[in-house]
Amino acid sequence: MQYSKNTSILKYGLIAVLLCLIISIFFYMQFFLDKPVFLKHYYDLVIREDMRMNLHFITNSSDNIRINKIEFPQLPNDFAHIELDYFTNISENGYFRSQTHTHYNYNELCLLIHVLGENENENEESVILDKAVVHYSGGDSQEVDIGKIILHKNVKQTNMLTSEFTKSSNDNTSAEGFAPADNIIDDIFIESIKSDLNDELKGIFELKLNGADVRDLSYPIDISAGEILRFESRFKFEPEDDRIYNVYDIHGRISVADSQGNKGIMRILNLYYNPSEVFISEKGIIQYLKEIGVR
Amino acid sequence: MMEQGYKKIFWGFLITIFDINFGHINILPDFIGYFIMGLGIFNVYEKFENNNLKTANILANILMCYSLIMGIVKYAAATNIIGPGSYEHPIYVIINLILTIVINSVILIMAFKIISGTVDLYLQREMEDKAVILINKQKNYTVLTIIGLLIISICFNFSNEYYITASAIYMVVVNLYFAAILRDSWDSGCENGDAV
Repeated sequence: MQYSKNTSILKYGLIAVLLCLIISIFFYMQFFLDKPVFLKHYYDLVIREDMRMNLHFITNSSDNIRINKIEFPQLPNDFAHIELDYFTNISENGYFRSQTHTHYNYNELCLLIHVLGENENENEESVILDKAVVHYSGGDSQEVDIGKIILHKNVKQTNMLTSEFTKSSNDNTSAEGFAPADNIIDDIFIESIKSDLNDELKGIFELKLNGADVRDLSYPIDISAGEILRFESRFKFEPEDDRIYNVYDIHGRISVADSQGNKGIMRILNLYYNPSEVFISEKGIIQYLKEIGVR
Repeated sequence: MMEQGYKKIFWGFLITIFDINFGHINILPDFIGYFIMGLGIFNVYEKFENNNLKTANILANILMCYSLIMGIVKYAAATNIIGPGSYEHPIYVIINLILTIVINSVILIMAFKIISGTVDLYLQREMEDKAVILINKQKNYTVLTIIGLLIISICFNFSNEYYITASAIYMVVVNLYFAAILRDSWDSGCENGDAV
Protein backbone atom coordinates (compact mmCIF):
# COMPACT_ATOMS: atom_id res chain seq x y z
CA MET A 1 0.00 0.00 0.00
CA GLN A 2 1.69 3.12 -1.21
CA TYR A 3 0.84 6.54 -2.54
CA SER A 4 2.92 6.10 -5.70
CA LYS A 5 -0.23 6.29 -7.82
CA ASN A 6 -1.01 9.65 -6.24
CA THR A 7 2.55 10.76 -6.94
CA SER A 8 1.95 10.00 -10.62
CA ILE A 9 -1.31 11.96 -10.53
CA LEU A 10 0.58 14.89 -8.98
CA LYS A 11 3.45 14.69 -11.48
CA TYR A 12 1.34 14.38 -14.64
CA GLY A 13 -1.22 16.82 -13.30
CA LEU A 14 1.43 19.51 -12.82
CA ILE A 15 2.81 18.81 -16.30
CA ALA A 16 -0.75 19.28 -17.67
CA VAL A 17 -1.06 22.57 -15.76
CA LEU A 18 2.28 23.75 -17.18
CA LEU A 19 1.23 22.89 -20.74
CA CYS A 20 -2.16 24.55 -20.26
CA LEU A 21 -0.46 27.67 -18.88
CA ILE A 22 1.93 27.89 -21.85
CA ILE A 23 -0.93 27.48 -24.36
CA SER A 24 -3.03 29.98 -22.45
CA ILE A 25 -0.25 32.60 -22.42
CA PHE A 26 0.45 32.03 -26.13
CA PHE A 27 -3.27 32.43 -26.92
CA TYR A 28 -3.49 35.55 -24.75
CA MET A 29 -0.48 37.16 -26.44
CA GLN A 30 -2.23 36.82 -29.82
CA PHE A 31 -4.77 39.37 -28.60
CA PHE A 32 -2.28 41.68 -26.94
CA LEU A 33 -2.13 45.33 -28.03
CA ASP A 34 1.23 47.08 -27.73
CA LYS A 35 -0.48 50.46 -27.42
CA PRO A 36 -4.06 51.64 -27.01
CA VAL A 37 -5.91 51.97 -30.32
CA PHE A 38 -7.83 55.20 -30.84
CA LEU A 39 -10.92 55.21 -33.02
CA LYS A 40 -11.39 57.79 -35.79
CA HIS A 41 -13.46 60.72 -34.59
CA TYR A 42 -15.34 62.95 -37.01
CA TYR A 43 -16.53 65.91 -35.01
CA ASP A 44 -17.78 69.23 -36.26
CA LEU A 45 -18.33 71.28 -33.14
CA VAL A 46 -19.26 74.85 -32.39
CA ILE A 47 -17.41 75.19 -29.12
CA ARG A 48 -18.55 76.98 -26.01
CA GLU A 49 -16.81 77.47 -22.67
CA ASP A 50 -16.69 74.24 -20.58
CA MET A 51 -18.02 72.14 -23.43
CA ARG A 52 -17.08 68.47 -23.40
CA MET A 53 -16.00 66.11 -26.13
CA ASN A 54 -15.12 62.46 -25.79
CA LEU A 55 -12.34 60.36 -27.25
CA HIS A 56 -12.92 56.64 -27.78
CA PHE A 57 -10.19 54.01 -27.69
CA ILE A 58 -9.47 50.35 -27.10
CA THR A 59 -7.03 49.01 -24.54
CA ASN A 60 -6.03 45.58 -23.30
CA SER A 61 -8.39 44.63 -20.51
CA SER A 62 -5.31 44.03 -18.38
CA ASP A 63 -3.96 47.56 -18.92
CA ASN A 64 -3.70 49.58 -15.75
CA ILE A 65 -2.10 52.59 -17.37
CA ARG A 66 -3.83 55.91 -17.00
CA ILE A 67 -3.89 58.80 -19.39
CA ASN A 68 -2.35 61.82 -17.69
CA LYS A 69 -2.65 64.37 -20.47
CA ILE A 70 -3.70 64.74 -24.09
CA GLU A 71 -2.20 67.41 -26.32
CA PHE A 72 -3.33 68.49 -29.76
CA PRO A 73 -0.30 69.79 -31.69
CA GLN A 74 -2.55 71.50 -34.27
CA LEU A 75 -4.49 73.46 -31.66
CA PRO A 76 -3.22 77.07 -31.51
CA ASN A 77 -2.42 78.24 -27.99
CA ASP A 78 -4.80 81.19 -28.24
CA PHE A 79 -7.73 79.20 -29.69
CA ALA A 80 -8.73 76.92 -26.85
CA HIS A 81 -7.31 74.83 -24.06
CA ILE A 82 -8.37 71.18 -23.87
CA GLU A 83 -7.79 69.10 -20.77
CA LEU A 84 -8.99 65.91 -19.14
CA ASP A 85 -12.28 66.36 -17.35
CA TYR A 86 -11.43 65.04 -13.91
CA PHE A 87 -15.01 65.43 -12.68
CA THR A 88 -16.38 63.15 -15.39
CA ASN A 89 -13.59 60.59 -15.81
CA ILE A 90 -14.36 58.92 -12.53
CA SER A 91 -14.34 55.23 -13.38
CA GLU A 92 -11.76 53.02 -11.69
CA ASN A 93 -9.27 53.36 -14.55
CA GLY A 94 -9.76 57.10 -14.88
CA TYR A 95 -12.08 57.07 -17.90
CA PHE A 96 -15.63 58.28 -18.37
CA ARG A 97 -16.98 54.89 -19.45
CA SER A 98 -15.57 51.45 -20.18
CA GLN A 99 -17.04 48.34 -21.75
CA THR A 100 -15.02 45.46 -20.34
CA HIS A 101 -14.41 42.29 -22.32
CA THR A 102 -12.10 39.30 -21.89
CA HIS A 103 -9.12 40.73 -23.76
CA TYR A 104 -10.08 44.32 -24.52
CA ASN A 105 -11.81 47.31 -23.02
CA TYR A 106 -13.67 49.88 -25.10
CA ASN A 107 -13.15 53.18 -23.29
CA GLU A 108 -14.45 56.69 -23.49
CA LEU A 109 -12.42 59.60 -22.12
CA CYS A 110 -14.04 62.96 -21.52
CA LEU A 111 -12.22 66.17 -22.41
CA LEU A 112 -13.11 69.65 -21.23
CA ILE A 113 -12.76 72.56 -23.64
CA HIS A 114 -11.91 76.06 -22.44
CA VAL A 115 -12.43 78.59 -25.22
CA LEU A 116 -9.85 81.36 -25.13
CA GLY A 117 -10.79 84.92 -26.09
CA GLU A 118 -14.19 84.08 -27.53
CA ASN A 119 -15.95 87.02 -29.14
CA GLU A 120 -18.98 86.60 -31.40
CA ASN A 121 -18.28 90.00 -32.96
CA GLU A 122 -15.00 88.79 -34.37
CA ASN A 123 -14.65 86.61 -37.42
CA GLU A 124 -15.44 82.94 -37.00
CA GLU A 125 -12.32 80.81 -36.52
CA SER A 126 -11.92 77.11 -37.12
CA VAL A 127 -9.21 74.54 -36.51
CA ILE A 128 -8.92 70.98 -37.74
CA LEU A 129 -7.35 68.46 -35.40
CA ASP A 130 -6.32 65.06 -36.72
CA LYS A 131 -3.44 64.25 -34.38
CA ALA A 132 -3.21 63.95 -30.63
CA VAL A 133 -0.30 63.18 -28.35
CA VAL A 134 -1.37 61.01 -25.45
CA HIS A 135 0.78 60.98 -22.30
CA TYR A 136 0.46 57.91 -20.08
CA SER A 137 1.10 57.57 -16.38
CA GLY A 138 4.12 55.33 -16.92
CA GLY A 139 5.88 58.20 -18.73
CA ASP A 140 5.23 56.92 -22.28
CA SER A 141 3.58 59.05 -24.90
CA GLN A 142 1.88 58.09 -28.15
CA GLU A 143 0.99 60.13 -31.22
CA VAL A 144 -2.37 58.97 -32.50
CA ASP A 145 -4.49 59.62 -35.56
CA ILE A 146 -7.82 60.72 -34.11
CA GLY A 147 -9.74 61.25 -37.37
CA LYS A 148 -10.91 64.80 -38.07
CA ILE A 149 -12.12 67.08 -35.34
CA ILE A 150 -13.21 70.52 -36.51
CA LEU A 151 -13.72 73.16 -33.84
CA HIS A 152 -15.40 76.49 -34.59
CA LYS A 153 -15.33 79.50 -32.28
CA ASN A 154 -16.66 83.06 -32.43
CA VAL A 155 -19.75 81.61 -34.09
CA LYS A 156 -22.52 84.15 -33.88
CA GLN A 157 -25.50 82.33 -32.48
CA THR A 158 -29.02 83.51 -33.13
CA ASN A 159 -32.12 83.65 -31.00
CA MET A 160 -34.40 83.95 -34.01
CA LEU A 161 -35.17 80.23 -33.65
CA THR A 162 -35.97 78.43 -30.45
CA SER A 163 -35.72 74.72 -29.82
CA GLU A 164 -39.20 73.24 -29.34
CA PHE A 165 -38.31 69.63 -28.68
CA THR A 166 -35.40 67.28 -28.98
CA LYS A 167 -35.06 63.53 -28.80
CA SER A 168 -32.46 60.94 -29.61
CA SER A 169 -32.56 57.19 -29.68
CA ASN A 170 -30.05 54.38 -29.43
CA ASP A 171 -31.03 53.25 -32.93
CA ASN A 172 -28.85 56.14 -34.19
CA THR A 173 -31.76 58.41 -34.97
CA SER A 174 -32.61 61.77 -33.51
CA ALA A 175 -35.11 64.55 -33.97
CA GLU A 176 -35.16 68.21 -33.03
CA GLY A 177 -37.82 70.80 -33.61
CA PHE A 178 -37.35 74.54 -34.02
CA ALA A 179 -39.78 77.41 -34.39
CA PRO A 180 -39.31 81.14 -34.90
CA ALA A 181 -38.99 82.88 -31.53
CA ASP A 182 -42.12 84.55 -30.14
CA ASN A 183 -40.69 88.03 -30.74
CA ILE A 184 -40.19 87.34 -34.45
CA ILE A 185 -43.04 88.85 -36.44
CA ASP A 186 -41.65 88.94 -39.96
CA ASP A 187 -40.60 85.93 -41.93
CA ILE A 188 -37.08 84.65 -41.46
CA PHE A 189 -34.92 82.73 -43.90
CA ILE A 190 -32.75 79.68 -43.63
CA GLU A 191 -29.79 80.41 -45.87
CA SER A 192 -28.07 77.06 -45.43
CA ILE A 193 -27.95 73.95 -43.32
CA LYS A 194 -24.48 72.50 -43.38
CA SER A 195 -21.63 70.72 -41.77
CA ASP A 196 -17.97 70.83 -42.75
CA LEU A 197 -17.93 67.02 -42.73
CA ASN A 198 -20.33 66.48 -45.63
CA ASP A 199 -17.80 64.39 -47.55
CA GLU A 200 -17.08 62.14 -44.60
CA LEU A 201 -20.80 61.71 -43.92
CA LYS A 202 -21.79 60.89 -47.49
CA GLY A 203 -23.74 57.65 -47.67
CA ILE A 204 -24.00 57.08 -43.94
CA PHE A 205 -25.89 60.08 -42.64
CA GLU A 206 -29.11 61.74 -43.60
CA LEU A 207 -30.65 64.88 -42.21
CA LYS A 208 -34.18 65.74 -43.15
CA LEU A 209 -36.15 68.92 -42.66
CA ASN A 210 -39.89 68.24 -42.57
CA GLY A 211 -39.27 65.01 -44.45
CA ALA A 212 -37.00 66.38 -47.20
CA ASP A 213 -33.25 65.81 -47.37
CA VAL A 214 -31.54 69.10 -46.49
CA ARG A 215 -29.14 68.66 -49.45
CA ASP A 216 -32.07 68.65 -51.87
CA LEU A 217 -33.70 71.80 -50.56
CA SER A 218 -33.60 75.12 -52.37
CA TYR A 219 -32.19 77.91 -50.23
CA PRO A 220 -33.10 80.36 -48.87
CA ILE A 221 -36.10 78.80 -47.21
CA ASP A 222 -38.79 81.13 -46.04
CA ILE A 223 -40.05 80.43 -42.52
CA SER A 224 -43.16 82.12 -41.24
CA ALA A 225 -44.03 82.77 -37.61
CA GLY A 226 -45.46 79.75 -35.85
CA GLU A 227 -44.05 77.29 -38.38
CA ILE A 228 -42.35 74.24 -36.90
CA LEU A 229 -39.12 72.97 -38.40
CA ARG A 230 -38.74 69.29 -37.68
CA PHE A 231 -35.25 67.94 -38.24
CA GLU A 232 -34.79 64.19 -38.28
CA SER A 233 -31.41 62.51 -38.58
CA ARG A 234 -30.20 58.98 -38.99
CA PHE A 235 -26.85 57.22 -39.18
CA LYS A 236 -27.07 54.08 -41.29
CA PHE A 237 -24.15 51.93 -42.45
CA GLU A 238 -23.99 49.43 -45.28
CA PRO A 239 -22.73 45.99 -44.19
CA GLU A 240 -19.20 46.42 -45.61
CA ASP A 241 -18.78 50.05 -44.62
CA ASP A 242 -15.88 50.28 -42.17
CA ARG A 243 -17.04 53.74 -41.09
CA ILE A 244 -19.28 51.87 -38.67
CA TYR A 245 -16.27 51.85 -36.34
CA ASN A 246 -15.93 55.65 -36.32
CA VAL A 247 -17.35 58.16 -33.88
CA TYR A 248 -19.43 61.07 -35.19
CA ASP A 249 -20.57 64.20 -33.40
CA ILE A 250 -21.96 66.92 -35.61
CA HIS A 251 -23.31 70.31 -34.72
CA GLY A 252 -25.46 70.89 -37.78
CA ARG A 253 -25.39 74.63 -38.43
CA ILE A 254 -28.57 76.36 -39.54
CA SER A 255 -27.69 79.80 -40.96
CA VAL A 256 -30.65 82.06 -40.24
CA ALA A 257 -31.30 85.60 -41.51
CA ASP A 258 -34.15 88.04 -41.18
CA SER A 259 -35.39 90.76 -43.50
CA GLN A 260 -33.30 93.38 -41.64
CA GLY A 261 -30.13 91.55 -42.54
CA ASN A 262 -29.48 90.10 -39.08
CA LYS A 263 -27.76 86.74 -39.31
CA GLY A 264 -26.81 84.00 -36.94
CA ILE A 265 -26.29 80.28 -36.47
CA MET A 266 -28.54 77.79 -34.72
CA ARG A 267 -27.03 74.42 -33.84
CA ILE A 268 -28.78 71.08 -34.39
CA LEU A 269 -27.64 68.85 -31.58
CA ASN A 270 -27.73 65.08 -31.04
CA LEU A 271 -26.29 64.27 -34.45
CA TYR A 272 -24.16 61.66 -32.80
CA TYR A 273 -23.00 58.12 -33.38
CA ASN A 274 -20.51 55.83 -31.66
CA PRO A 275 -19.86 52.11 -32.22
CA SER A 276 -20.81 50.96 -28.71
CA GLU A 277 -23.42 48.59 -30.18
CA VAL A 278 -20.77 47.10 -32.52
CA PHE A 279 -18.35 46.70 -29.62
CA ILE A 280 -20.93 45.30 -27.22
CA SER A 281 -19.31 41.92 -27.84
CA GLU A 282 -15.58 41.38 -28.14
CA LYS A 283 -16.09 39.92 -31.61
CA GLY A 284 -16.80 43.43 -32.90
CA ILE A 285 -13.56 44.78 -31.42
CA ILE A 286 -11.53 41.88 -32.83
CA GLN A 287 -13.08 42.43 -36.27
CA TYR A 288 -12.22 46.15 -36.09
CA LEU A 289 -8.62 45.46 -35.04
CA LYS A 290 -8.29 43.00 -37.93
CA GLU A 291 -9.63 45.55 -40.41
CA ILE A 292 -7.15 48.23 -39.34
CA GLY A 293 -4.33 45.68 -39.40
CA VAL A 294 -3.47 45.74 -35.70
CA ARG A 295 -4.14 42.03 -35.27
CA MET B 1 3.83 17.26 20.77
CA MET B 2 2.75 15.67 17.49
CA GLU B 3 -0.87 16.83 17.99
CA GLN B 4 0.47 20.33 18.62
CA GLY B 5 2.41 20.07 15.38
CA TYR B 6 -0.68 19.14 13.37
CA LYS B 7 -2.68 21.89 15.06
CA LYS B 8 -0.03 24.43 14.04
CA ILE B 9 -0.08 23.13 10.46
CA PHE B 10 -3.89 23.39 10.49
CA TRP B 11 -4.09 26.93 11.89
CA GLY B 12 -1.15 28.12 9.82
CA PHE B 13 -2.84 26.84 6.68
CA LEU B 14 -6.14 28.51 7.61
CA ILE B 15 -4.29 31.84 7.94
CA THR B 16 -2.94 31.42 4.39
CA ILE B 17 -6.44 30.72 3.02
CA PHE B 18 -8.14 33.84 4.37
CA ASP B 19 -6.94 37.40 3.91
CA ILE B 20 -8.29 40.05 6.26
CA ASN B 21 -7.19 43.53 5.24
CA PHE B 22 -7.23 46.69 7.30
CA GLY B 23 -6.66 49.37 4.71
CA HIS B 24 -3.49 48.39 2.86
CA ILE B 25 -2.37 46.17 5.73
CA ASN B 26 -3.18 42.47 5.81
CA ILE B 27 -3.62 41.70 9.49
CA LEU B 28 -3.21 37.94 8.83
CA PRO B 29 -0.35 37.91 6.34
CA ASP B 30 0.43 34.64 4.58
CA PHE B 31 4.05 34.54 5.74
CA ILE B 32 2.87 34.20 9.35
CA GLY B 33 0.68 31.28 8.27
CA TYR B 34 3.58 29.56 6.51
CA PHE B 35 5.86 30.28 9.48
CA ILE B 36 3.38 28.57 11.82
CA MET B 37 2.98 25.70 9.34
CA GLY B 38 6.77 25.31 9.17
CA LEU B 39 6.94 25.15 12.98
CA GLY B 40 4.15 22.57 13.02
CA ILE B 41 5.79 20.39 10.38
CA PHE B 42 9.07 20.62 12.30
CA ASN B 43 7.30 19.55 15.52
CA VAL B 44 5.92 16.47 13.77
CA TYR B 45 9.29 15.81 12.13
CA GLU B 46 11.02 15.93 15.53
CA LYS B 47 8.86 12.99 16.62
CA PHE B 48 8.80 11.20 13.30
CA GLU B 49 11.78 11.76 11.03
CA ASN B 50 10.55 11.38 7.50
CA ASN B 51 11.79 12.68 4.14
CA ASN B 52 8.30 13.79 3.05
CA LEU B 53 7.90 15.94 6.16
CA LYS B 54 11.41 17.31 5.70
CA THR B 55 10.57 18.37 2.12
CA ALA B 56 7.25 19.86 3.30
CA ASN B 57 9.12 21.88 5.92
CA ILE B 58 11.55 23.24 3.33
CA LEU B 59 8.66 24.19 1.04
CA ALA B 60 6.81 25.92 3.92
CA ASN B 61 9.93 27.99 4.60
CA ILE B 62 10.27 28.87 0.89
CA LEU B 63 6.61 29.93 0.83
CA MET B 64 7.14 31.98 3.98
CA CYS B 65 10.07 33.87 2.38
CA TYR B 66 8.15 34.42 -0.86
CA SER B 67 5.04 35.67 0.98
CA LEU B 68 7.11 38.03 3.10
CA ILE B 69 8.85 39.53 0.05
CA MET B 70 5.60 39.81 -1.95
CA GLY B 71 3.81 41.31 1.05
CA ILE B 72 6.45 44.04 1.27
CA VAL B 73 6.36 44.66 -2.50
CA LYS B 74 2.54 44.85 -2.57
CA TYR B 75 2.45 47.20 0.42
CA ALA B 76 5.12 49.40 -1.14
CA ALA B 77 3.23 49.51 -4.45
CA ALA B 78 -0.12 50.18 -2.78
CA THR B 79 1.32 53.08 -0.81
CA ASN B 80 3.33 54.36 -3.81
CA ILE B 81 6.66 53.87 -2.02
CA ILE B 82 8.10 52.17 -5.10
CA GLY B 83 6.19 54.31 -7.59
CA PRO B 84 2.97 53.79 -9.47
CA GLY B 85 4.59 52.27 -12.56
CA SER B 86 5.42 48.92 -11.06
CA TYR B 87 2.01 47.29 -11.60
CA GLU B 88 1.00 49.22 -14.67
CA HIS B 89 2.52 47.21 -17.46
CA PRO B 90 0.01 44.66 -18.80
CA ILE B 91 2.73 42.01 -18.80
CA TYR B 92 2.33 42.12 -15.02
CA VAL B 93 -0.91 40.16 -15.49
CA ILE B 94 1.01 37.32 -17.14
CA ILE B 95 3.79 37.39 -14.52
CA ASN B 96 1.17 37.45 -11.79
CA LEU B 97 -0.63 34.46 -13.33
CA ILE B 98 2.61 32.47 -13.65
CA LEU B 99 3.50 33.26 -10.01
CA THR B 100 -0.01 32.28 -8.89
CA ILE B 101 0.26 28.93 -10.67
CA VAL B 102 3.81 28.29 -9.42
CA ILE B 103 2.99 29.18 -5.81
CA ASN B 104 -0.22 27.14 -5.81
CA SER B 105 1.75 24.22 -7.28
CA VAL B 106 4.31 24.55 -4.46
CA ILE B 107 1.46 24.65 -1.93
CA LEU B 108 0.01 21.50 -3.54
CA ILE B 109 3.36 19.71 -3.35
CA MET B 110 3.82 20.81 0.27
CA ALA B 111 0.34 19.58 1.19
CA PHE B 112 0.94 16.36 -0.73
CA LYS B 113 4.17 15.79 1.20
CA ILE B 114 2.49 16.48 4.54
CA ILE B 115 -0.17 13.89 3.74
CA SER B 116 2.47 11.43 2.48
CA GLY B 117 4.43 11.91 5.71
CA THR B 118 1.27 11.29 7.70
CA VAL B 119 0.53 8.13 5.68
CA ASP B 120 4.07 6.95 6.50
CA LEU B 121 3.35 7.71 10.16
CA TYR B 122 0.14 5.66 10.08
CA LEU B 123 1.90 2.77 8.39
CA GLN B 124 4.68 2.86 10.96
CA ARG B 125 2.01 2.67 13.66
CA GLU B 126 0.28 -0.13 11.76
CA MET B 127 -2.86 1.93 11.19
CA GLU B 128 -3.39 0.60 7.68
CA ASP B 129 -7.11 1.37 7.49
CA LYS B 130 -6.50 5.01 8.25
CA ALA B 131 -3.59 5.08 5.82
CA VAL B 132 -5.85 3.80 3.02
CA ILE B 133 -8.46 6.44 3.80
CA LEU B 134 -5.78 9.15 3.85
CA ILE B 135 -4.31 7.99 0.54
CA ASN B 136 -7.77 8.30 -1.02
CA LYS B 137 -8.15 11.76 0.43
CA GLN B 138 -4.69 12.66 -0.89
CA LYS B 139 -5.80 11.55 -4.36
CA ASN B 140 -9.02 13.60 -4.11
CA TYR B 141 -7.16 16.69 -2.92
CA THR B 142 -4.51 16.35 -5.63
CA VAL B 143 -7.05 15.92 -8.43
CA LEU B 144 -9.26 18.76 -7.16
CA THR B 145 -6.27 21.11 -6.85
CA ILE B 146 -4.97 20.19 -10.31
CA ILE B 147 -8.44 20.98 -11.72
CA GLY B 148 -8.32 24.32 -9.89
CA LEU B 149 -4.89 25.12 -11.33
CA LEU B 150 -6.11 24.24 -14.84
CA ILE B 151 -9.08 26.58 -14.35
CA ILE B 152 -6.79 29.39 -13.14
CA SER B 153 -4.27 28.85 -15.96
CA ILE B 154 -6.87 29.65 -18.61
CA CYS B 155 -8.61 32.39 -16.63
CA PHE B 156 -7.33 35.38 -18.57
CA ASN B 157 -8.70 33.99 -21.82
CA PHE B 158 -12.17 33.49 -20.37
CA SER B 159 -12.01 36.09 -17.69
CA ASN B 160 -15.04 37.75 -16.36
CA GLU B 161 -15.92 38.59 -12.79
CA TYR B 162 -18.10 35.50 -12.29
CA TYR B 163 -15.43 33.15 -13.63
CA ILE B 164 -12.70 34.65 -11.45
CA THR B 165 -14.94 34.70 -8.35
CA ALA B 166 -16.07 31.11 -8.97
CA SER B 167 -12.50 29.85 -9.42
CA ALA B 168 -11.34 31.70 -6.28
CA ILE B 169 -14.20 30.18 -4.25
CA TYR B 170 -13.40 26.76 -5.72
CA MET B 171 -9.77 27.01 -4.58
CA VAL B 172 -10.81 28.14 -1.09
CA VAL B 173 -13.15 25.12 -0.83
CA VAL B 174 -10.40 22.74 -1.99
CA ASN B 175 -7.99 24.24 0.55
CA LEU B 176 -10.60 23.88 3.29
CA TYR B 177 -10.81 20.22 2.28
CA PHE B 178 -7.07 19.93 2.96
CA ALA B 179 -7.57 21.71 6.30
CA ALA B 180 -10.23 19.09 7.13
CA ILE B 181 -7.75 16.32 6.23
CA LEU B 182 -5.22 17.88 8.63
CA ARG B 183 -7.83 18.02 11.38
CA ASP B 184 -8.61 14.34 10.91
CA SER B 185 -4.90 13.61 10.98
CA TRP B 186 -4.31 14.91 14.48
CA ASP B 187 -7.50 13.26 15.74
CA SER B 188 -6.30 9.93 14.34
CA GLY B 189 -2.76 10.50 15.60
CA CYS B 190 -4.02 11.13 19.15
CA GLU B 191 -6.08 7.98 19.12
CA ASN B 192 -3.00 5.89 18.74
CA GLY B 193 -0.12 7.05 20.91
CA ASP B 194 0.63 10.65 20.12
CA ALA B 195 3.17 10.83 22.89
CA VAL B 196 5.72 9.00 20.85
